[in-house]
Amino acid sequence: MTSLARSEQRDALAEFVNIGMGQAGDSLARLFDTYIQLSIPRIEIVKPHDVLGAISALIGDAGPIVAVRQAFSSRIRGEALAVYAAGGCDALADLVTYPDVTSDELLLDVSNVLIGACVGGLAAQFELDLSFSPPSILGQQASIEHLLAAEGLPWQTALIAEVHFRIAERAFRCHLFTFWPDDSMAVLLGAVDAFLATL
Amino acid sequence: MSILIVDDSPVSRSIVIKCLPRGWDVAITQAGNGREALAALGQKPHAVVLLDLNMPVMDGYEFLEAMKLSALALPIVIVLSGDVQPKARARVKELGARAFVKKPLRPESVRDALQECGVL
Repeated sequence: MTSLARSEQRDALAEFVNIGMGQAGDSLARLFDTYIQLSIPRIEIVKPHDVLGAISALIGDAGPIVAVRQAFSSRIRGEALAVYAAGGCDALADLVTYPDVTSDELLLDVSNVLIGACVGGLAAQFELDLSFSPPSILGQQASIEHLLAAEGLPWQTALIAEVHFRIAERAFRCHLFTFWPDDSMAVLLGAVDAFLATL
Repeated sequence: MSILIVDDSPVSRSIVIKCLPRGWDVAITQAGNGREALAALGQKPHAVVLLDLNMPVMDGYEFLEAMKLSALALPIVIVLSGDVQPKARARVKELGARAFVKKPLRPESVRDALQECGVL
């Protein structure tokens, strides 16, 4: 696997995703009225043919999964995927503090919070104000291979952010993947370098 | 005065150093997790510890718990974290941290916390 980012760049991106995760955790804590335990994020940037290998290295054989997709755009654009084990957020359904939510709605809400905070938080560090499309469910009970073959993902570079959230002793895990056209990734890494140069 | 910066991310430690008050005459030691921080404090006392929470090996909470049980003099601990949940803040205060600064860090918020703890 060839990493497209230097360790210093990955470290900076991880720190910014970490800050975004903190905000996501705070939003989820309000949604579920409980403490959210956050993991240390790991970052990898790879080309499409290395994505499956990178994902397996991070999460092993995930089994059937469910994924939510959300596009983002401004000066940069791309697509974010939030990937969950089959069942999505069902384990959290009884914690929700608002009534009559379907499991799909819950999945979309949680994904919206996670992607908005992690990807939006990352972009905000570089003063890139992103707009997000409404989230949509990309696949239920699908395989990672199947999802990654979905049409329309801007398939030049993938930034994989591994983030885990644990809620009230329940095993709830989510992985975030973002896909970028090359020119957008160049803008992001350029902004990271400019930031690193100020340290 | 000597201070200890504890964070697993080298970039994050650089950001902390950049946010310290200009011209502040301090000796800086860096540690990558709680265990390294305990080792550093065992070697020499530090007046202030700037502590991240989410770290491998020994996280910030475990470090604070270990400090309570150890014979080491408790320095002034200021937590720097992106975990902005009120429960995170309450828990570190309970464990003896004197102040909490949320990330992303700003020089003003770091200075305010140092002043709040009577360090500046």
